[in-house]
Amino acid sequence: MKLVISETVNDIPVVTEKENTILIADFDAGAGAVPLSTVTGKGSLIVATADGAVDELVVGTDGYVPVADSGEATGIKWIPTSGLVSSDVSGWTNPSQTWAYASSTTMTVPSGAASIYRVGDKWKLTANSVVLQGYIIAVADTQLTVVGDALTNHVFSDNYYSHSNPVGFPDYFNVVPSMAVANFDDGSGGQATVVKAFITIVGRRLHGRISASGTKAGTNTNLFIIAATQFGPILAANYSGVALIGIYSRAGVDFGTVSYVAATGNIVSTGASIADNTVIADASMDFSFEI
Amino acid sequence: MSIRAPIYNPEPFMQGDTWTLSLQVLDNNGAAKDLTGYSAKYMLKTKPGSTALLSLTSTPAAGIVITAATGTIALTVTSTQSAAFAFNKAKCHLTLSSNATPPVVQTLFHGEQEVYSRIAV
Repeated sequence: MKLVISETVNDIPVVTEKENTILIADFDAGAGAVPLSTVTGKGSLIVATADGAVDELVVGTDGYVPVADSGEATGIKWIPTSGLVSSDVSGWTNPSQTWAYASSTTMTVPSGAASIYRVGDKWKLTANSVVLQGYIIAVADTQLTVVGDALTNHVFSDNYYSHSNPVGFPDYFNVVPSMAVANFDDGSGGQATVVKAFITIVGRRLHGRISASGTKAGTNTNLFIIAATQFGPILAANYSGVALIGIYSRAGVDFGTVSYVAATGNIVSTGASIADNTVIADASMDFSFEI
Repeated sequence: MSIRAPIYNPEPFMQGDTWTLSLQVLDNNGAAKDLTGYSAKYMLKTKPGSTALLSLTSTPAAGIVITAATGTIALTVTSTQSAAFAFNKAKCHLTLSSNATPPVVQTLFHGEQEVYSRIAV
């Protein structure tokens, strides 16, 4: 604001405007100021509700933070920090979105999943007070397919994902393989006894081991015959013409190979021929393939 | 640079002369500020807290005329008033107040008013 001053004494100008133009702080500063009565309590914020208009945003719950929300009258709302997309030193990231049960191996997520998640990511959630974890093995726009702990039909909470190697994540997950009993059984046509069966995923590569005891069924060179899809959506095209995807051992008896048979989708162990009804106490198969 | 309560020393004038100070309030764009509802007060004192040597006001009308539309404040010290000035220097103070409750008060300027003694009035 400016003051332009002129003085006269007995009608004789003594001071010109030029000499006395004074800039002073805007007189309207008080008139246009936001009145103190706008805020009514500790922690309240003054926010603009429109061009030239303000209102009070009453303080949120302890620990909450303000975030922009055009749907709110004040344009701002308070949310818990747990609702923020955040990643801490544990390596887990909160996606700030809801996951819902769809099946034991699938969950529904908001549209746009492919921009957040990728195959091989780890996931963690709480369902019915039980923490479940595993890997994402397929990403659709609104659905994640997972392996690891089986999903249960409950409300999911505390859901996180990780592109890396988060603290507390298991080194492997046990699986229950279904083996072709035509080649390896319990001596009575049932499943051979699984001693150890687990998988782990690093990046997009799935590693697995199956150890079992049972009885050879039929005299031939194949022992383990297992559908690859039991473990993950193998990228079959990557294994065209690449027979070896693992190792096969039968302690004291044989060493062989593990192959993926594209025609059947099976993982097959192959070694020296084993006679029908041979009791096998410790056969193991390691395999590794890209999902 | 804008300042609050700038110092402005009115021109000295002779005891017994009529003195007029016209002041126009402009915004930063150079437009006249609408002074509707505002009042002004001009005082002379030998020192802060002392009895006023002169008090001009716009409300009630006593020596100050505000023309709201043009943002003009006109102060007039009559020859009768100045003839009675028995001082050579006094502190001066011009304030502008809004009609808000409480009023917003701003000092437009303060300084020193000098009056030359006349040999014969």
